[in-house]
Parts: sequence; structure tokens; C-alpha cells
Amino acid sequence: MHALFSSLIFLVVTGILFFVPGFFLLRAVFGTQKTLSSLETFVLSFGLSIGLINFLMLILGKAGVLFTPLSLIIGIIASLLSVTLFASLVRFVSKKFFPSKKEGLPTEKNTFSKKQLWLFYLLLVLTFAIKVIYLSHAVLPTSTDLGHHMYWAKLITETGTLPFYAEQEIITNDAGNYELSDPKPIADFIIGEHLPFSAISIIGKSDYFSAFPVVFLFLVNILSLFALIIFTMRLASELRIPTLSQSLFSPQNLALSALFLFGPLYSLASPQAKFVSGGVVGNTFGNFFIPLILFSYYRAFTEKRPAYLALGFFFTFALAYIHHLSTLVLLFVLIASALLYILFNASTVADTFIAWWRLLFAPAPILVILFACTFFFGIALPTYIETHAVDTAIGTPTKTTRTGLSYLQITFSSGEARVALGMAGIALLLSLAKRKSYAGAFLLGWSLILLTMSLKPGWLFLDIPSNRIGTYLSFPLGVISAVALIWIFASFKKEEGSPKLFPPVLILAFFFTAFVFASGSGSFDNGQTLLPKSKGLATLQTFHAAQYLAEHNRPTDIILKDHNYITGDAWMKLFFLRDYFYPLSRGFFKRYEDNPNREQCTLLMISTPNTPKGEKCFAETGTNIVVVNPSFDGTQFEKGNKWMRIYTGDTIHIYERK
Amino acid sequence: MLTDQRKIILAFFVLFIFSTIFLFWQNEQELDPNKNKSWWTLSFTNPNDETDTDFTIENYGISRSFTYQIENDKKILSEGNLTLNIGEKQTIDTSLDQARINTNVPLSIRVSSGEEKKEIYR
Repeated sequence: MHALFSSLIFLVVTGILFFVPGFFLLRAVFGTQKTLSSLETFVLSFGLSIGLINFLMLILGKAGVLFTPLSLIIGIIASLLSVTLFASLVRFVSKKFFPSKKEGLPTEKNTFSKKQLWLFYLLLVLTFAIKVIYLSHAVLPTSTDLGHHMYWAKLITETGTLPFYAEQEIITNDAGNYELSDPKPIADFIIGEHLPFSAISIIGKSDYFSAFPVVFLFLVNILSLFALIIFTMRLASELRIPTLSQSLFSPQNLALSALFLFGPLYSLASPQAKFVSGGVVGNTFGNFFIPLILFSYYRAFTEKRPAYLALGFFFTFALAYIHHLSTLVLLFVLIASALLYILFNASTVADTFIAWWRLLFAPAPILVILFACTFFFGIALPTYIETHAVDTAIGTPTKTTRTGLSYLQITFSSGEARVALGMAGIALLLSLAKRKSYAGAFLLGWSLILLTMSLKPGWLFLDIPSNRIGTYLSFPLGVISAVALIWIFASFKKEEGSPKLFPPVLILAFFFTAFVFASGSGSFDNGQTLLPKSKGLATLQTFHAAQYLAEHNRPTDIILKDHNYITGDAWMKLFFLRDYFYPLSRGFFKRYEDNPNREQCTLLMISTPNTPKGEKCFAETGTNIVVVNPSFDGTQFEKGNKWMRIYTGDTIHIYERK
Repeated sequence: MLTDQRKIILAFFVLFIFSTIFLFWQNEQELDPNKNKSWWTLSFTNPNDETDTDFTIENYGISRSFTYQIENDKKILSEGNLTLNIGEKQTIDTSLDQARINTNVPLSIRVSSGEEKKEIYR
């Protein structure tokens, strides 16, 4: 009953926070013009709402207003009213002084046939079913990354203020002694990926240990699928080849093709449900925003509508406050797409620049740019700019993990079917005159730059783990695959009345082969990702021990826990909210081996606590409590007379130093 | 009359609502200490006071009978039995005579329930 109540509260709060504001903002910007389809309005509303809530909370936080349910709701209503009033004024000025011939362009009729609609439902149900079955085993708060992120989100909720992203660390001082440093800024986190969770928890009183963080990420993940669908559907008009069947190469079939390749197939592996359960928050948001931004720019350029350019700018700016890597990837994609468009249309480059300039020189985009500049310089910089994290991402690759993936690794990470069809689509698109269109430039720019970033990052002076870049590649390859699949199908059928190009048996054989290949590859991938069993009991015991420690925690207590053998240990810090580095943690053994310059105290204090080095670490860092899994680490604390065992469970022992 | 796209959005909401309710329910089941799990813990009631030997047992296991022994310097200082229902927590006030405790050797509290034994010491 409690779960039902909590889930309903979560649903209502999510609706109010992440759909309603965006919907009203869209209405304010576009008025009653029917230029957006229902699906587009739905997906864009979510993206706009996330941006709005983030900016609103940043403004409130910087103004010294505490985050409470009342301050947030009043803030949302006030900002919506002011934005609506302002947008109406801008629309009035635009109509009067910048009349556009394209104003009021009706949206493309996207009516699905009965069969198409039922197929859409079927694919959607399959997508939900596969993801939810997987997440039902992963809905427990055990993931390390999600634990890290939720620490900050909970800190915002509890304090009602913006956090200072910093942590303590063990350092060696000038005298050669170990000590805990003062908190130092960290660049790993960005405020925009935490504020949405905090907003839900503040208004809905949602518990961070409930399913809400995972379910919210699941929502973002599913909506990224819809963002891909609306983008793919819009590509139809420019990518339609006159000699192919017009009825088959339709937005509806493109939508189904995209849903097939992104929905039930590969729906668990990175960057899909695995990123949701793993708490890869920034990437999950990035994978939602990137197609949405490309959709906005695509419509701006093809329809010459400044309002979409403004929308694209807003989403880009919102993404910059949510995830640095996604923003970097997006910038590369946009530059590559623009360069390819200019290259393919070299003979009309002057006209292109004039058209772009006219598009940019309109009230809506200029106002968004002004807002962005004012916000950026006057209110809050993204933390990665403040901490100069960009410098660490640009340069010659420094580690073997950053020198690029092999083609085989790309096939594995993006899915065989998508890579095969995607490569065929890229080759086809490059050979066709369609490459000159905006659709061609965006698709080729998106996929080719990500292929280069993944395979040869050194060519672009990128110093980022290549496997992280590789996860972005499945999206453009999937979209091109969706287009290529429908192109191939449409090539089998000529328009009605014309003789058939291929015998029906051959067509059926191709359909069947393609379906079996794609389904087999995609579902094998899903099977590899399913979790074997629940971690419920071990997690519960970790949280029980953490609760015990939190209840008796003194300011002088320094706790050290193990990350290798304790389930859900990253979530222990949510019980204390003392520092991101509290409790101290013995990390994965490999990290100490790979980096000899890394502090060794956290390793020594658990692995060899009774050696002189271990003793020195305890004495100088002030660590007095150790939390370990007795199956792996209990013995070393049983020796001698230096330790008290103050708590015992099946998977957790807590030792206190005498 | 709903358009096709609105029907799709409606289908999305229906699926998402059911998924959310199911995942919240699943999470609650997994985090319910009494649900399909059997475990118990033993801890010092006041870990910050080294002289305090009171201890707490929390039972989420099938077995309800617990026996305990408090031992110091190979002498049994106290022992007893107790019954704890599932989800029950009990603090045992040891009220030991401090004069009988040899502080140079650890004082152990051993609790057993069924086949399982647990020990804390200070």
C-alpha cells in the first residue's frame, strides 16, 4: 500500500514538474500554430521542463532562497507567467517586424494505419516489458554511480541549498604525514543532473532509497527513444527517393523502424537500461537531449523557423548544465554536420550563410542567446568550467583506454544489426544526392564524427575514455539503420500500377533474414545483460549497518568501508551526508595497482591494518571505525588486542579501534 | 476523437504508470527486512561508551529463540535466553559488576540462534 501511494505521488509530482511547465512554455512560444505534432509536443515538453526547473533552481539557489515545496511551486508559476508574457510579446514583435513566409506551416499529417498503430503498441509493450523485467532486479539502490549522484541530490534536498562540489582526500603533508585535506573542488559532477531528483524529493517527499531515482532515469531513457522517433519521422520528407515506394518510405514506417531498432532490441545494454540501473545519470540525460537538439536545429534549418533555432539553443544551453561529455559530443556533431553541409553544397555557400544569418538574426534566438550569456556570466557557470575540467578532455590521448576502440568493440557496443545496417546506410547516403540535404548532413555528421571520435580520438585531439564515447554511437547508427531498413524495403516495391522489381519470394526471404538477424543480435545482447539474482539481502544488511553507524556517529569518528566486497556501499554516505568522501573507501584493487601515486592508506588500513604502514595510516588520518565483509576481511581485525567488534551481521562486521 | 499520436502517448502513460507502480512495489519488497529473508544482527547498544556492555539483537530470521553468554577472562559473567519475533528488536541490559571484569582481556558477547552464532567484543 505504501509503495502504491509513493508511486502515485511520484507520478503526480513528475507530471507537474516535468511535463506541465514545458507544455505551457511551448504554447507560449508557438501559440496556437499547429507546427508541432502531439508526440513532438509531448517529448519537447519534458526537455523544456527539465531545463526550466534546473535554471529556476539555480536562480533561486544563487539568490539565497531555500528550496522548499512552496518556493519551488511559486517559482515555477512565476517563471511560467513571466516567460509566457515575454514570449507573447516576442511573438507580437516578430510578427510585426520580422514576418516569416513559413509562419503557420501545418505539421505533416502523421496518421498511422490500423496495422501500423497496433505494431507500434506491440513494440512499445515489448520495450517496456524487457526494460521493466531487467530493472525489477536492479531497482534496489546498489549501483555505485547512482549512489554517488544521489548523495548530492539528497544533500540539496536536506539543506535546501545548492551544493559545493568538493570532497576531502587523504594527502601527505610536508612533514611526510598523512592527513585528511580540506574539501577540494571536484569536476565529476554537474548541478543539472542532480536538481531534477532534488525537485522531486523536495515536493513529493520521495525517499532516495525508494525506486524513484531509477524510475525517473527510466522515464528519461524511454523518452530518449521517443526523441529519436520524432527526429527520424521528420527526416522522411527530405530523405524520400522518388524512384522508391512513396507509401513505404513514410514517417510512420520510419517511426516503426526506429522503435524496432531502439526499443525491444538492445534495450538493456549500454546506453539503455544498463545505464538506468547503473545510475549513469549524465549520459542518460545526454542521450535524451542530443536527438532533441538535432531535431530542433533540423526543423529550424529546413523550415527556416527561428523559433526552432531558439528551442535548439535553449536545449543546448540546458544540456551544458547537465552533462559535459554530452555537450562536447554535441558540439562536435554540430560542427561536423555544418561542415558537411557546406562541403556538399559548396556551390551555394554564400546563399547558405545568408539563410543561416537570417535565421539567427531574429528575436527568439537572440533572446535565448542573451539569456544564456546573462545566466552563464551573471548567475552560474557550469562546474566543469570553474574547475577547468575541459583542459583534461582535450589533448593527445594519454592512456591506452583513450586511444580508440577497435571496429569489433564498436560492433559489440552498438549492436551488430545496427552497425551493419548503419554502415550500409552511411554508404548509401554518401552515394546519393540526398547527402546535400540537411537530413543527410545531420545524419552523416552525427555518425561520422562519432565514428572518428570512437575509432581515432587522436585525430581530434580528444583525451576521453573511448568506451564512453562509443556508447553515443549507437544512436546515429540506429537512426541511419532505421532509414536504411525502410529504404531497402521501399526499393522492393514500386508505386502501384508499376511492375514489381523483385519476385515476392525474394522480398519475403529478405524481410525474414533481416528480421531474424536484427532480432537475434538484439535479443542475444539483452540476454547477456540480464542480472542473475537479487542483491536484496546483502543490500539491506549494508544499510542496516550504515544506519547503526549514523545513529552513533560522533564528529571525531572517521569511518573506512570496503568497496570491493560490500554490496551497495556507495549509498552509505547518504546516511551521514558529512562529506562526499565520508565514509572513506577502499576502492577496487586495480585502481591502486594502476596508479602508484594514488594514496595507499585506504588499501592498507583494511588489507594490512596491523603493519607499521597500516598503523601509521590509522594514527595520522584519525580513522577509528572499519566496516568490512567478514567473509573476505574479518581475520586481520581479529588478531591482537587493538580492535573491538561492535556490530555483527552475516555480511557486515564493524570494528572500532581501541 | 483521439488522434493516432495521442493514442500512442496514452499508451505510453498507461505503460509507464503500471511500470512505476510495479517497480516501487518491487523495491519495497526487496527492502522489507522481513520479506522472504532470514537474518539477524548483534551490536553494542552504545558503541561510544567502552565500559557499556549492553547489547541489542534485531531479529529478521525464522528462528525466534536466542541464547546469550557474556564472557570475560574465560569466565561466564552472565547468560540467558530470550524470544524475539520477526522484526523485533531487544536491548539487553547487562548490568555487570565492573569489579569482576578484567579490562586487560576482551569482554565477549556470544549469541546463538538455531545453528547460527554471532559474537561482538570490546
